[in-house]
Formats: sequence, structure tokens, C-alpha cells
Amino acid sequence: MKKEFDFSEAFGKIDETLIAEAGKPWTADRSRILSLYRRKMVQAAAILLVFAAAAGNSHVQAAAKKFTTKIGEIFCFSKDLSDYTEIIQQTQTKNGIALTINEVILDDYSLIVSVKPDYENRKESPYLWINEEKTLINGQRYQSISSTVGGGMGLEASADNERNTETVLAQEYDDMDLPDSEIAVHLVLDAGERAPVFQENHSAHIAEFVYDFTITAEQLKAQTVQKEVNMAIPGADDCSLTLKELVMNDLRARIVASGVTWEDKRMNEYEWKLTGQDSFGNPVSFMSAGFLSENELRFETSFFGDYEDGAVFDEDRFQMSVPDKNCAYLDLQLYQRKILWDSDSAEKLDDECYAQESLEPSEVYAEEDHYGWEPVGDAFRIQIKEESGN
Amino acid sequence: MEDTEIIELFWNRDETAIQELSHKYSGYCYKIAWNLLQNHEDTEECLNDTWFAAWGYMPPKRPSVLSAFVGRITRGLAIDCFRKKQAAKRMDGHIADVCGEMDALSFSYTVEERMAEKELITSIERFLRKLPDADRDIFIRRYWYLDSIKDIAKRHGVSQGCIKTNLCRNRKKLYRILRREVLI
Repeated sequence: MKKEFDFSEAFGKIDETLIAEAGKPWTADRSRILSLYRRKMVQAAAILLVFAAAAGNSHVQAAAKKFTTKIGEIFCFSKDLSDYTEIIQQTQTKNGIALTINEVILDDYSLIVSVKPDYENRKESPYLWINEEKTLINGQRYQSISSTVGGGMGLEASADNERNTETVLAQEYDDMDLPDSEIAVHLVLDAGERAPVFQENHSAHIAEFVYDFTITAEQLKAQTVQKEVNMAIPGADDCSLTLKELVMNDLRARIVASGVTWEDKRMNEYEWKLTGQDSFGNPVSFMSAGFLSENELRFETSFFGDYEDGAVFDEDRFQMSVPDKNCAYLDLQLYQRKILWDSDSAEKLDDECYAQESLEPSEVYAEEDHYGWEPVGDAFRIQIKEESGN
Repeated sequence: MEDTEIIELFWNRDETAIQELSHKYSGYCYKIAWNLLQNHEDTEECLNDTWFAAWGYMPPKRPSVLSAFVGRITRGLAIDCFRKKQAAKRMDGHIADVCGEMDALSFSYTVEERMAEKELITSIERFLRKLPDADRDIFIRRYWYLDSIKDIAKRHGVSQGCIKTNLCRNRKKLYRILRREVLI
């Protein structure tokens, strides 16, 4: 006897948790958290190597002395962040895990939290993340555009002193437009097993930790530079990008550009970055990082600097790529790198589209090829402050 | 009102239950029905049927995720309504596309083949859980919530071509899995 499997009907009966999860607003980088996490762990491991080598290297020791906060130390920020950092020191203990929130930094674009864990007798360190469905900033829930993790958590640490090292969780937002006054934060952290909760093991979630405190974003907001740019990339006739706005402070910098939409074919063909240096000679790098809206492409600095996957770098010369907010100008060059597609995987879908798998750049490009990056147009300068006359 | 409180109203046969349920989930269910029916009267009728169906299901049911529970009722009613009407009129682009894609994953099998529908659903769930978060979200938004390609592309901030590619790849993968489960 024949039976019919009606997919549309059967799919309607799938597990409610899967349905409910897809019913929530999509966090732009939720999907990237794990791949980004894996990449950042390589870089975080490099940061720890910097400090492991500190005992024998006076250059690194001198740099280390500048770190007045744990967040600054773990992210290797060269600026003194103590003015922006709220010391919280609240501890919650559940299911054999004690988490102490030590430091918090908050502004319109970032929430950064340092967490000191104590895993007691646990054999493996849990995976920690900010639950942004439940976390409230000034009474509101905000959808982050990216997440970063730094510090001891997530490394293959097995020794007690490694497993309980401080971890920093950072969420980045579009623009929360927070008031200058005291802001109430209801922070919810989740701890789970190393595997993400949506794999087969649904018991992966261990515990939820809730912290309530107030913080002011006033200091960091006051230090944030915003500059209208309105500049096309010179010498690049084929490139329609126009840089519209620059925002920067001691933590991060962003450039918003128009001239390309998320429907643009080039988004499937190229990735972009802006690199150069600020007026103090600090290296700067902004990677294309998705869209704020349909036609606003953002370029962002990274907490971990501009390092290619698989690159070998000198830990003594490890450097972030955030410009100094007091700089007078940025000298930048736009680069593009072709996204490489595996031709063996190509298959035609319809008259408009075909499917192909992309290749990892690190599998194809080498350092001598500049990792595939090619300059677009001419170098240019974003003038931030008027130069004083002679 | 919290979901648990709404469910308690149903269990206590309190008539404000339907009012509270529709107040909380009418927007959510409307979108699901509208995605397929594209017609206000049919969509409203679907919603009214949803609330009364919920009255019939609770008790004895006590759903763990109320949004998914009522969304599922709405989706089923919308599909039934759509099928009754589809013979009478030509489908528009979005509806024709999503129905065609889902039909490609439907098939016949003989009763001697071991898999019951319940086991096939388990296979689908296992497939979904192994997908990367974005792929899973795209797949469920398309075939459970019946979103258009354009809406999904906007949700993820990528091109429509990217979404089509992603869905095609995962539909093929799932089809191979389901056929293998049935034929072994």
C-alpha cells in the first residue's frame, strides 16, 4: 500500500523549540558567533602568549604596565580605560559555577563585561554568553550586530589556573542612543556546555546568572568622535562606495558607507577592508562587516586587530588596529579580495541563480600574495581636525 | 500576560482566555497566515478558527511553547484553506514558489518501508539541529513561517540569491536524508 509523505504537513509538526527560536528577531551575527568565536580564540590565544612572554621581554612589559583595567589587559587596549569602566564585583553561584562580574563598559555601541569564573570541581569550562533576549539596558532589549569573546574561556584549558581566568564578553550594537544619566542594566549571562545548545544535546544549558546594576555611558559618549565624511573613493571609477560617517572612541571605530546594497552582485564577489594609519602613526584597519540598513555598509575595527586566519605574527609586535580618537586624520586605502568559489560544487538553480561553495581564503592565499587583498583606487585622507596653520 | 497564565485561563475554562491569547499572538499568527493566503478576509477567518481550535485543545494539552503551539494551528489552517482555494485560481509568485519547493520534498512510499511519518519528522529535526544557526533559521522561516525570499534576505542582511542558494543546497541535503531513511 502506498503512503504519501506530505512535507508541508510534516514540517508543521517539528519541535516547538525550533519554531520558537526562528520566531525571534534574528541577531545579525548570531550565526557568526561560533565561527567568529573559533577564529577569535586563535587570536585570544595569541594575546595570552603575549603575556606569557612578558617576563622575558621589556617591550611587552612596558606595554603591559599601561593596562589599568582587566578589559584593557585582555583586549590589549593601549588606552587607559579606567575612566569608562564601572567596577561591579557582583557574584552569582549556580550549579557549581560562581561568576563574578568585575568590570563593565557601556556606550551607545558596546556593552563589554569582564567575568571571573570559578568552576569548582567541573572538569570542563562552560561556554558563557550574554543572553540578549533577557538582558535589558535602560529597560530595553537591544539586538546586537556582533559578539566577541576574549580571555581564558574557550581555550583548551584544563589546568585549574587556566580554566578560571578572567573572560571578557563584548556585544556591539548599531546605536542605542543612551541618555547621559545613570542607566540601569539587567544583565543575564548563560552558561552552557561547549557545544551550542541547538545541537542534539538539549541538556547543554547549565545555568542562568542575573545581575542588576547601574552605569553611566556619559564619559565614553563624551569621548566619542563623530564626523561626517561624504567622500567617494578617489581614483576608483568602478567603485561606487561613498564614505558617509566616521565614529570612534578608545574602544572601537566605524565607518559607514553608501553606494552598495545587500542585493548588489559584488557582495557575492568581494570582501572589503580599509587599512592605513592615523596621524600618530598607529596602524588602523576597518573590515566590511555587514549592513546597518539596506544601503548602509559598515566597516568596523576589531578588538583583535587585523590578522589573517593562519597568519604567523610576532607576538612582541602584536598591535590593535583602532585609531587614536584624538588623531587629526586617517590615511586609508581601500582593498578588495575576491571571494573564491569551488567550481566543482556549482549547480544551476534557475535562470538567475546557481549554487556554489566558497573557499576559505587561508586555503588559497599566502602572505606573499598579501592574502589576496588588492588595492582599489588611490589612498586618501579623512581629515578629522583642521590642521593648524603655519 | 505570561504564557503560563494564559494556559491556566484555558484550563479553568475562563472565557477571557481567547481574548488574552489573541491580544498576545494575533500579530504573530496573522503574519503566518498572510504569508500563504495573501488575503485579509481569509487570514482573519484563519485567526478566528485558531482561537477556537486552541479552546478545544486546552485542556488536555498544556503546551511548553505557546507561540509555537498556536502558530502551528494557524499554519495548518492556512494550508488547508489555501488548498481548498488553489484549484480555483492561479497562484502568485511567492506562493507558487514555496509550494513548489515543499512539494519537491514530498514523496510516496510503500507501507512495507519501515519509516512512519513520526520517524521522518524526527529525521527532519535531527537535520535541522545539525545545520548552522543561520541555515536553520532560513529553512524554518521559509517552510514553517512561509516567509518570502525577499523577507528572509532582509532579515539576514544578504542578497536574495544567497537565500535561494542556501535553501536549494539544504533542500537537496534533506531530500537525500529522507529518501535514504525510507528506502533502507
